[in-house]
Amino acid sequence: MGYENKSFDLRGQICPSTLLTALKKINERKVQLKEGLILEFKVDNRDAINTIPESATRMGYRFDVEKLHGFYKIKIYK
Amino acid sequence: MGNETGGEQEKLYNYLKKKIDHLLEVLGTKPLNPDELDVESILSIDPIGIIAESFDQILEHLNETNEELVIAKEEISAIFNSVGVGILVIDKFCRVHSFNSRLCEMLETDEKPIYSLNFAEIFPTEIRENHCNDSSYKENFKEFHNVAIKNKYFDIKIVPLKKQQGTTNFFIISFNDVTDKVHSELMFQQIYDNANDMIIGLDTDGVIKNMNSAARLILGCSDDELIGKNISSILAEDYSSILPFELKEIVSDSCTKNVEMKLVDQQGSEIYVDGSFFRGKLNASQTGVLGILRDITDKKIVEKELERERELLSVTLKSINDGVITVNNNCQVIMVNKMAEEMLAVSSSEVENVMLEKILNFSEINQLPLCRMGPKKYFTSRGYDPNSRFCLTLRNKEGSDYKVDVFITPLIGRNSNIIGGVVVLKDITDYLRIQEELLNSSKMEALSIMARGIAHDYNNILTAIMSNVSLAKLKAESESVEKVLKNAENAVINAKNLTTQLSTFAKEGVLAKEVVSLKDFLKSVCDFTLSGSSCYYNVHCTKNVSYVEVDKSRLSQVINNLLVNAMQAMPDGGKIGVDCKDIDVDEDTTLPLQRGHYVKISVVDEGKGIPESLQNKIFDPFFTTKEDGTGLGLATSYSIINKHGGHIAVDSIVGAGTAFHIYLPAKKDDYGYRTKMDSHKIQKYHKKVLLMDDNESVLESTSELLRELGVNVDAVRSGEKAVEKFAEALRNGEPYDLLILDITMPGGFGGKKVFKEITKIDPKAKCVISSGFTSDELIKNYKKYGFYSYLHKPYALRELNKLLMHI
Repeated sequence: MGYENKSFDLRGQICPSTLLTALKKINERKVQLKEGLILEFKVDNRDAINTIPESATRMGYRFDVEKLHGFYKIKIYK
Repeated sequence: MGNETGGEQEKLYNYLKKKIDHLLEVLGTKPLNPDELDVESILSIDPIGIIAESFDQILEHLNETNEELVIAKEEISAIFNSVGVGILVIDKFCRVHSFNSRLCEMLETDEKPIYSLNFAEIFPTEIRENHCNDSSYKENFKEFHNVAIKNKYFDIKIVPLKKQQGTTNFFIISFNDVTDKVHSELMFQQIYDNANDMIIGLDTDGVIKNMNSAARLILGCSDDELIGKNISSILAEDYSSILPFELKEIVSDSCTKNVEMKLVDQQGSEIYVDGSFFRGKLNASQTGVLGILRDITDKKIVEKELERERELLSVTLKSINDGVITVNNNCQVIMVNKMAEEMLAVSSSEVENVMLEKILNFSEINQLPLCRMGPKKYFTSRGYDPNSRFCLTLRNKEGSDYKVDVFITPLIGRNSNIIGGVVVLKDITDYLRIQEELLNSSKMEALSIMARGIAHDYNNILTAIMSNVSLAKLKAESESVEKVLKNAENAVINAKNLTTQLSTFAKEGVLAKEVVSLKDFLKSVCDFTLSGSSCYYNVHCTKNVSYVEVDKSRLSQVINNLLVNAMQAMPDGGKIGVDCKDIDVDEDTTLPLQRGHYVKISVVDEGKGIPESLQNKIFDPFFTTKEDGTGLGLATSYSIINKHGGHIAVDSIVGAGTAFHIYLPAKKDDYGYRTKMDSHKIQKYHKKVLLMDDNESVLESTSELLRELGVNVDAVRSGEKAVEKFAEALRNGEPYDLLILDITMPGGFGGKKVFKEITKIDPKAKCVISSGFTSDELIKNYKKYGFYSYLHKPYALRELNKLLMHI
């Protein structure tokens, strides 16, 4: 698939949880992630900054958290 | 239904939410917030499915990780076991956690024992104290070198193993077996320290960087006295040295230089060393020049001694007056000394290895048994006598023969075996000649003894004649008869002179000096010698020339000899001048004479002269240019004049003539000179004289003479009779006034003994000793023996007269 960033904007989402949404996205794209895909999640949920990276790490992914204006950008990649 | 259903739905929903949270926790994350998930979302998003899939990924991830770990572990294990060092991992309680097989090999044990190893036991104190139970042990690793464990040496490195959190639970200890290195270092150190040879390290400028104990000992320096000094400070000046630029060459070209040098130790003594310099390490980081040098001073001393001995031998051989030839067992020449070279007219270089017989130039066909048999056989043969010498005649390069005395002795090698021979040649030509001369001189001796005997007899006869003639002269009645008798008297005197000369011929001995007036004396000798020769002579003395005190017969011998030489120089006749004058010798003189007054007598001829080259040889004994000469005439003359305290010199020009000058000490006055005047007063003496002689005619004639002089004479013919008569006369109160005693009497009872006996009787007796020999000891020292006076036979009247006059 190549190196591309798939971006998801999860700002303002309370329900369903940002975490679950993100996890789902990650699961769906686990093959691409292996091949080099980088997923971006824009969140404004403070919990999500911890929970998403924690889970992703357990699953063997690496992450970046970037603080931007009023929101955070979380990058997930293999 | 509604509530229940609703209630149950809610229960389910809550149960689901609770489990989802449970799962999220297991997942390792926070549970959801209450509003994060509603029923709709649950159904649409499928949270459990998501979580399940997440677990799936987690597991997958874990598996991957595990695989990686396994691989890593295998890698580590491979490295762990294959690495060249021994590795031990211990925990912070010093318990063995793990180790590699290498360690087992290094410590030479199996695996099991390692576990039970007590850290504390194995490692040296220092390590133990530092690390065991040291939980506060910090970051850095520590290294320990040359740790001794179980007869081996290890370099040990201890590294703390940190976990991610920063705590240290384990220590990794690496062991590097450096035993070989340590051993070779030890070995080097042992060699370095125990070597007898000096080992010094220099940098390329020649500065001494290190030296072993042997070097210190040899150079006599304390520990580091010379470290830092330049090697040139211990080099002796006159010896070749390694200069700094040569040192650089050694390093750059990595070449080895062999040297022999002279060093000076700290006490100032000189040491000879030899060895080599080569490139080497001065220390871990610096390369320089190493030198290994051996003290060869002793060897050098031995070498010098050997050289000196060789030199000594060479010089000795050179100065030996005999020819020395050494030959090897094949009778080939090994060495000839200088004398042999001259004798055989060869040079040492051309005779090396030449057969001996080839260089001995025999005059007749001859062969040395040495050459015929070879040294080995010869020296062990029966015929060889180590003390034997034999004579050979060789011919020299001028073609004339000369005789050599040959002495052969074996050359013995170090193992006492015969390795050749030594031939010594002694040129005995001169020796033989001298023997011949000695033979001649003993003949002369015999002749002179015979001459003495004859002279003695003649003297006696002459005495008789003299006395009778004198008597007759006294009784002569006419002048003409008197004159004739005077001539006869003179003839007898001459005859007496002749016999005197005959008797003193070739005899040294005591001089009987008397004061002589030269003019008459010289004239008389000239008359005697030159009468009948073809030469004419002229005797000239300056007026009032001094007297000399000389042994008349000896001086006449000298003058006679010179005159004869002068005659022989002018075989066809010529003039011989005899001059006599006073001369003063002062300090500046070149003559070998003391300061004083002398009389110079010169005998001059006009003969062929003596070449200058021979002039200083003519006084040598046995030197003669005459075919039948003895070579003794001038030698004896020289000796006689010398004994008188004078000197004889020659002055000659070839073709012009020769002059001999005799210098004799002058007598200050004429005291002692018996003038003829005195003795002419003949008187009558009324004295009593006892005359003793063994010769009848002497007794008779002398008695007559004495009676003419008015003397009462008693004549006896033996010593015993003399004593008897003397005693008798004394007893009778008519003692003798004078006794005349002949020295030689048959039976040995001669004058001396008689005198002894007589003086026993009367110590005051006046005895006159008489003899036909002027050189008799008794005559010369008559006073010392106690005699009143002496008389020469034959007795002349005037002498007797004089004697009687003075009693």
